[in-house]
Amino acid sequence: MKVPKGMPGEHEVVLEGGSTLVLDQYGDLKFNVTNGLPPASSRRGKARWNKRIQYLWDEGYLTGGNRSSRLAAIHRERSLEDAGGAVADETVRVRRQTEGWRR
Amino acid sequence: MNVVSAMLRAYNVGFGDCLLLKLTYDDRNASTRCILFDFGTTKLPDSAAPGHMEVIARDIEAASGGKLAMVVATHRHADHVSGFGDNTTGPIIAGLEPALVVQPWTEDPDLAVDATQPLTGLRAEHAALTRTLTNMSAFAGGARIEALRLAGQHGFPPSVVERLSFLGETNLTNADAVKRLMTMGERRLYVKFGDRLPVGRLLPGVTVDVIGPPTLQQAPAIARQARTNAEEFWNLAATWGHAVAQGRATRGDAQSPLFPAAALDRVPQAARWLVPQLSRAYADNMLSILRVMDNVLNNTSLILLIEINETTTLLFPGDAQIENWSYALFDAPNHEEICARLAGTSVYKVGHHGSLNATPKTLWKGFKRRQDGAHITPDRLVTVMSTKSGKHGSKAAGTEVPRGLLVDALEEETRLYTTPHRTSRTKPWVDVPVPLR
Repeated sequence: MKVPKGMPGEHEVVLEGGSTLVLDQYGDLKFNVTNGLPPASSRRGKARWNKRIQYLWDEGYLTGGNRSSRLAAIHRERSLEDAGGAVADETVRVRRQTEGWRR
Repeated sequence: MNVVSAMLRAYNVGFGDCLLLKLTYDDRNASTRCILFDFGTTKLPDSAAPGHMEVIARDIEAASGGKLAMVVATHRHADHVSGFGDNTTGPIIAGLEPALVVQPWTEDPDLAVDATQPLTGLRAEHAALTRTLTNMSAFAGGARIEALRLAGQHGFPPSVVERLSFLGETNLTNADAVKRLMTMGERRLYVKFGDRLPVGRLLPGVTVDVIGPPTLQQAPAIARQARTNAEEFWNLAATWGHAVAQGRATRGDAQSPLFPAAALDRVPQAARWLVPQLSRAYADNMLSILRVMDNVLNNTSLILLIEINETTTLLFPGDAQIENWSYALFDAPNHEEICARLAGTSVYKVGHHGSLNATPKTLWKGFKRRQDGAHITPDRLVTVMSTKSGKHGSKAAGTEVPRGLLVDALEEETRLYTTPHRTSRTKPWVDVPVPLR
């Protein structure tokens, strides 16, 4: 597999296949729907997975953090750090961007 | 009396700050005077032997000749004050009987929650901020305990536990350190932007100007934490922290459980996959709150501008971030005059262990003694950085401490002294000659 663009080399990602079992009214297995990892020989399968992993990385799903509470966290941080909405707040926000050693 | 030589000793305390400025005078009766800036650590250097901080305290005792002129505790973070609270090292420093102990106005005990007089106006706002800082500390205590519990959960990422413990410990108020700083020395001052320390007799030929932290009136960015809604939030956070500390915050012991009849002894198998996810979300929330408070506390840092013989300027900004710096650099009525003085800095103690937001670009670009390797003169800016990598932030997010881009610039354009490679067990420090003009 290809390492997604922008992901550091030491970052660990676990890839897992999945399977859904569908039982009939007697409890017997009726369907087994699987979505496995691509076999080493499947160029098309690997390409699909590479695209999927790149998407997940770009959207922040693989950064190790939890996304379920991200919206709540954004609101909380804005409330605690940038409360008020006064002009001074916007000035500070701009200064954080321009005065730090980002690049 | 004139200062004839000056030397700054930066101790390798791992992640923390401890610096001793030694001034030598041309007067035989009072030949040396010393100032101690901070004395704390949250992670000792890998090379540290048992009793590492005591070795440093003993050296401060020896180098100062048993007497300190002044102690500066820039702010209350553990990596700056823990040594004052320690049972072994604290009394050693207190025994050096500093004539003056200087802290930021936010540490003034008169602003404490049990003040007997009702406070009004700006003083009430200042007291609100002090309450908020106390509440933050209680939350940090709870987060540190929860980090230990999460560490015991199968498969919980150790890196997250380490970050939680580190930030929890850093932001925890060291009660012993606070108490010792409140009682140590002959005189204690709680200072703010615009103050000039009364050191005329104590340190002849030296002026010490305070250019941070500003008061709430001066800097609304800091005032946010004192507003009612923020105060309520931190009050709740502190209640949670106290409950955790007393073992009352775990699900089984909750005073008013949401679903009292629910069986809580075992998580059903079908729901077990959810447990690590919830734990991770719980930890992430704690981390996000800890980061906010870490920043708030950093912004209570003292920023001191010291002038020796009216010619040599030293800058000690503690861990001040851009919100604290903003007033001195941009918003103060006399900011142009301050910037002109900052430009002439000869020795700069790099802010916040070399982090992303503690050396504002405006400050850096203004330093007129920066010189690249091809044009070095004796006038070149001297910089001193006390740090330990791998403890704060992440390289992937561009927030690592020390920040690579800043370190590159410091190495290219200044004479940089750092602490991490000073691994001697008997002399864990670096001596920085201060170029007097």
